[in-house]
Amino acid sequence: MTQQGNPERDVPEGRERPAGPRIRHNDYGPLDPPAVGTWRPSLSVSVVIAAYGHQDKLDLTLAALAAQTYPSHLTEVVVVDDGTVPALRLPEIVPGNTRLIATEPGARGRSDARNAGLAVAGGDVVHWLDADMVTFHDEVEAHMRWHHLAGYLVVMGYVRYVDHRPGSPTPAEVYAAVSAGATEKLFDEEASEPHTWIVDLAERTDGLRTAGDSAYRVHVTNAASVNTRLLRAAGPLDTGLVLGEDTELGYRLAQEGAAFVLAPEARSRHLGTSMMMRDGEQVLRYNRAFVPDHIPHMRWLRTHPRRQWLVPYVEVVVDAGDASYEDIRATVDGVLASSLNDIQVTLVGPWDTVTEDRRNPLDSPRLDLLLARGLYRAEPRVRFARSVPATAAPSPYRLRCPAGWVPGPETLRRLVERAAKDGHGLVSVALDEADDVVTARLEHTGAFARAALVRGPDESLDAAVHDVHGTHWLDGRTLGFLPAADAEPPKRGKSEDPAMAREVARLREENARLTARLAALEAEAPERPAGGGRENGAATRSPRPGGPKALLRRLR
Amino acid sequence: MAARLAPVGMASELARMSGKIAVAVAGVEVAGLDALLPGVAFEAADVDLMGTAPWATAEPAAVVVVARTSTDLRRAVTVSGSFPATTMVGVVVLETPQWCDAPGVPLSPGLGRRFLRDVSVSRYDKSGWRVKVRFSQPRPAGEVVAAVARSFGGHHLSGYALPMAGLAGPGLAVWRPGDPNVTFADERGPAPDRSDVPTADLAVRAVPVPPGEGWADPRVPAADRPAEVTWERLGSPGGYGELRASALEPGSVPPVDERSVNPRGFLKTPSEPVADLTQHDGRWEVRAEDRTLVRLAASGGVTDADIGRLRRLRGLRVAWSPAHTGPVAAVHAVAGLAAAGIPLLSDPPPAWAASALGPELSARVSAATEHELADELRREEHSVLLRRLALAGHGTMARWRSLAALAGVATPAEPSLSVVLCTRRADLVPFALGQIARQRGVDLEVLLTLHGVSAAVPEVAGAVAAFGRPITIVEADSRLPFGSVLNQAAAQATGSYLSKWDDDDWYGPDHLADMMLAQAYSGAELVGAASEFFYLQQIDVTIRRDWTSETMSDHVAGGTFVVSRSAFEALGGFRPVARSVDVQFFQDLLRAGGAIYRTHGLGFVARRAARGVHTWQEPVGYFLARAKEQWRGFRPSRLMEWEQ
Repeated sequence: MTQQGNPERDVPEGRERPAGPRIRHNDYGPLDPPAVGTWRPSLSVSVVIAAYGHQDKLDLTLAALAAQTYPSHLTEVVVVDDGTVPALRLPEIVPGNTRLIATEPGARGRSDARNAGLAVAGGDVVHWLDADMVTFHDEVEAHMRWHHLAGYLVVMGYVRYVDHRPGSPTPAEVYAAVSAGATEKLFDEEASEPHTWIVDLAERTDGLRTAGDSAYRVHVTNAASVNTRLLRAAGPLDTGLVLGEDTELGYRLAQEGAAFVLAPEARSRHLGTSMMMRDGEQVLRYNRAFVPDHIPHMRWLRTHPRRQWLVPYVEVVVDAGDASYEDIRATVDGVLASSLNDIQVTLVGPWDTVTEDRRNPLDSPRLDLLLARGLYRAEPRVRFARSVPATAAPSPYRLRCPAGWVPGPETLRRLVERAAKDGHGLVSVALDEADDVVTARLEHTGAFARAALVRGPDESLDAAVHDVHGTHWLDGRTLGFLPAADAEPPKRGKSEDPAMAREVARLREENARLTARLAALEAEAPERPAGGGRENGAATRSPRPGGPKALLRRLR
Repeated sequence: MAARLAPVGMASELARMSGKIAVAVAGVEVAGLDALLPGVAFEAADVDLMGTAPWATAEPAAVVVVARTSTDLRRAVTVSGSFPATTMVGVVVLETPQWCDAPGVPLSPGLGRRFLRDVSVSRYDKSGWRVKVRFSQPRPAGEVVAAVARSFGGHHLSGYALPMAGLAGPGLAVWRPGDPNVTFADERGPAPDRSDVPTADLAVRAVPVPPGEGWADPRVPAADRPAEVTWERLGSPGGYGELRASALEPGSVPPVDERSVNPRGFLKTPSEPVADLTQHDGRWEVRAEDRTLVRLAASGGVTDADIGRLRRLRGLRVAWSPAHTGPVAAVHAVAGLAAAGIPLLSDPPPAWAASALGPELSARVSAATEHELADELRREEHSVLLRRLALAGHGTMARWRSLAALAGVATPAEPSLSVVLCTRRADLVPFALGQIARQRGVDLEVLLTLHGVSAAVPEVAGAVAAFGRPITIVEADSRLPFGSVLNQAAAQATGSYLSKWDDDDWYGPDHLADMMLAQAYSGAELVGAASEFFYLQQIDVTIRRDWTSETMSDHVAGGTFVVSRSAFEALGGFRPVARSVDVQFFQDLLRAGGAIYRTHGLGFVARRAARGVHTWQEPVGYFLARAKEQWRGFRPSRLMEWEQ
């Protein structure tokens, strides 16, 4: 890294930095960071350390930070004392630009402390660090070289947990070893342990590149760094969560368009073991009670068929506008009867102008809207909005469904499963057409957020979404959408529900079609090897690869 | 060859017969016959070695032809003029590919059909066929062989629009496969005249000719086939020098029998990975999972059954060193594989192979990467480019046309095409004529049929004036139904084939050439493209449907088909209805005994605009529900050569 030259930042103050190249899903492979020590940084970083007690460990953490290769004029360190008695102090060896602040009684806890640090952080990037970490000499630089490539990154460093006895090493020894690039000589590396679940995840996902929507989990506040603009957009840590709060913020960062990078070259050592290592089962039990409410992607923890959750999986937006009461009702009732019930409905309309004529109620202006509001005013899953909210966040999906189109009981589930499986940023559903095609849209919140960050001046948002997550079209009728005129209201009980009866009929038909296909293939099979690609008529499609066995599997 | 060869009932009949049975083998070792014809006294001859009098027996009790595949059977046809007359004929084909249907015995009425008393067709083993024929009096066995071979393909006539061929010397059947009109003679020259004229117009002769044996007939030009060049011979002293001096060219290589070895049966979605074509025990083989999938004939002749076994592969990588049994055989094999559209991978071929393949095919053979073949569309594009070059450079038609040109023998003109473009929309005429103007490799005229539109409209007049090929304007009353309008245009056509053209769809520059190519190898009366690509204009999405292509079928894309004028006229043209004229015509043709062949769909994109006037069109969702793939924007295949 060239340290000479002017200390000014390369980008003038006040100008928005371009968000950088287009990462597709979480595949950051196209980013090519410069080798450590060979480049010229321009972004500033705030290292935020929340500390409670353990002055000795904090002293080591600060000593290691004082020996970083990253330019000191681009670095500030904010230490937040979360109510230690006696209060923590800044030791002798500290980085040049270090502040010590404290939380107030009544607003204390890990999240409060980090949020207090975030509130005063002035850097372009916030680097969360625990108060018991010894960073390698180029740890900060290794984080920062990624952030210079794109403006929407979360970077996670590589932590190993080492044995630590108080008093050894000393801050001076840490400073000397880190400065000399010999951090690993400070501890018993043989006995150290890695962050096992991150290493496993990295192996399964090509270093997170194929992790898709589950990449957010690596936002761990002991060694992650985040673009500050993105962090402020996602909001601070949720102080309502005592554990798992960093995971939850990682999830919200993803809804703002974040991409998550694993930087194994950003090395640090954690002094002692983590709570997860000591009490893994207990932590898991605790988190599974609190966290799923916040993170709809945890489908495996949200399997209950009826109950509701704090953050719904899909926000369904229906524009009530000029629609008739009957059309609004048909659509909303259909949505509320979905087998995917982890949803919220936002009815958009000029609700502030809807008033009741209490003497001649039937003459009320905007009577249809009045009735719609009356029908759903006590339904907890329906809310009313004056305009379409800018984002569905924290919900990961938003379905925009025109009033008058009714999803079948399985429609939403199939639509969202398809989008999630293929990672589409936008799935458009063709419902009908005149000159234009009437469309329902399923939008991936994170994809739209990232697209907004990277889109060109004359580029449509959908085009940018296509680049970062892919777009896809589906047929509405195949998915089970019906016009309101053809869809009977849902009825209580499975056998009575006409939409359910229709779904059963559809599956029976599909079963019969596959049975016939299988019979035809079996009739051919003894003489003709599979994969022959013959057809029986104009309407049949070529057989799928795999032949009868694959079809049998589908039948079962 | 575990099962007995003789058909049910025939074995006992053969065993009871007094006198020997004459057996001709094609692609089968004579040594293996004893086990297959137990208790039968027979005399065998190989069609690739036999001379003009193959059997000592002049009057055999029966003639049996045993061919490994129907491609091999077609070489028996070439020499079948020398087969004796008999009352019982058996034809056995040991293996056929998946797409090959049961054979028949379509004898010409003027030949032995009136003496036919018994015909039986049955399965042999898993995929072979046995045909037994009995006559009331002895008939030339060759007639049956030719009829059975013809019934395996789509051509109603086994003839070629080429000079009559003479083959002088043994082992030349491969030069004119499936043609019963070949004169088969020894090295000195063609057989005697028929009705006072020579029986051949052009001969291919085996060299070296035995010393003192000159060419007997100065009226018939002869092309000398190069001496057999095998690696074994080339390995002898001076051998490689001979290879350099021989300067192989495409004309040195026997042609690919395109009516048997062609893209038919192509699989868009292969189930097996890329395999290798490598040397084992002196020959090229393809092995998959330690099993020999295909072992090529020493001659390098690829058969339809070989192709059938290779269809499931994503690609085939050619290892050129060592290359099969010899340079000519190796090039013959690669040309055959390419003609069948097997997606080949190769390093740039060695110089001798490059010159024998021809520069374009040689470049194409090494043009694709394994990465490209991993994509189904890129793989199919490569297959189409390979087959075009191989069929145009190495097919039987192509080879004899170039031999004839060198010898100064006249050949019939290539068939001409009349493109019927019918439109109600003057504004689309420039676009549509532009699509036709860029057609390559065909001789065409356009019948611009204005359905209620005046030829004087400036867009029309301007586009017609700018169109550089023959064009005739047909003005049709707007009240006439579409079918009648098309018939009115077809009545003025001069081409031997009619092409139906849509005014708003996109066509690749080789669309018509590909249709004519498919017609030539399939023999179907009507050939069209699979209706795969649709541009959904309202939502700016291109979709691809998953049709099987390269197959006999009951329908093709209406805007793509080419039909022989004779078939069109025999059916009385289109029905006088306003729409569905295509579907009606397809059904009429099939019921009348005709064939429809569906070739690849990469050179055509149908435009699906707002329904507006076309209210009978299916909605956008219909296409989305049937899309195998979809892309944002207008995304035709590379073969469309479309730059936006």
